[in-house]
Amino acid sequence: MLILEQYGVKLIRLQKEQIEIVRYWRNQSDISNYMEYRNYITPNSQLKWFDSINNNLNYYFIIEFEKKKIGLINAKDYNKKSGFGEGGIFIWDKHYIDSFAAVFSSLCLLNFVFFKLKLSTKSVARILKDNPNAINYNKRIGYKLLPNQENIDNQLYELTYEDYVLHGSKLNEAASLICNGSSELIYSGTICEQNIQEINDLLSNQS
Amino acid sequence: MDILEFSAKLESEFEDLEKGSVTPATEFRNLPGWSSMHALIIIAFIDLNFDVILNSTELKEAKTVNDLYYLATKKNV
Repeated sequence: MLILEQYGVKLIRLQKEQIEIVRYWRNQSDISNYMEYRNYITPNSQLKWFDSINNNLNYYFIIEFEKKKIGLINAKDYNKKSGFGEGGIFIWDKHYIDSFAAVFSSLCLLNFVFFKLKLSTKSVARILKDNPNAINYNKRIGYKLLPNQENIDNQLYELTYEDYVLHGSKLNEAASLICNGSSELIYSGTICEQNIQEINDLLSNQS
Repeated sequence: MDILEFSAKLESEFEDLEKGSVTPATEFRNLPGWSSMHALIIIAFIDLNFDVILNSTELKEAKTVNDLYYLATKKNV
């Protein structure tokens, strides 16, 4: 278990007990239409997917905001050389789509990766080229389209540490203002084999 | 800062916008690609320029750029 908290959002590492709620929302057309994989997800395939990501290379978190589970955020396929995984997010609760929940969640996860773990100097994200809102959203954080992606539907963007410091600092400052100056990133959890050693070390040093 | 300068500066905060697309009457949530990220940028912009912190409720009630300017100048007294 791993929990990250900042700016009023709580990111709770996905557990088997929550995969059905994720499946339910992920199958809704207004969400799946923005995903590369759009086929209906069965309970069995969801379970297989969970088994494939419940390890120390993939980090999926339920987003909790105002005590409601409203979405999912992830950094998947961690690779020390190529950066801290591929980022992704979806908010299923329509009441929160235009709220600060999404951006606070993104900042919380990126702050943990870049400023607490300090393992990687970059992160990547894949964005469908016909999703201008997601492109704009990620560019604001500092993601840049990688070369030779023009003819690819699911385009690869990269966020370097330097670009995140440049773009993210203003966003972090504003988030802190909204939260009455509170910007502390709190992490907690249990040491387990589903965490990379560096995360377990952080948790160990905390206790 | 007058309202026209405010509009122009705000426009430059929102990269990728055509010049002149932000006016006092602009309903900022209708700007292309609007997201909560832009709301954060507005809060940071007003804090930097007016030393005023808009809360979520104030931002929610504002519709136009003029509304933002009014809030910023009213609170910066």
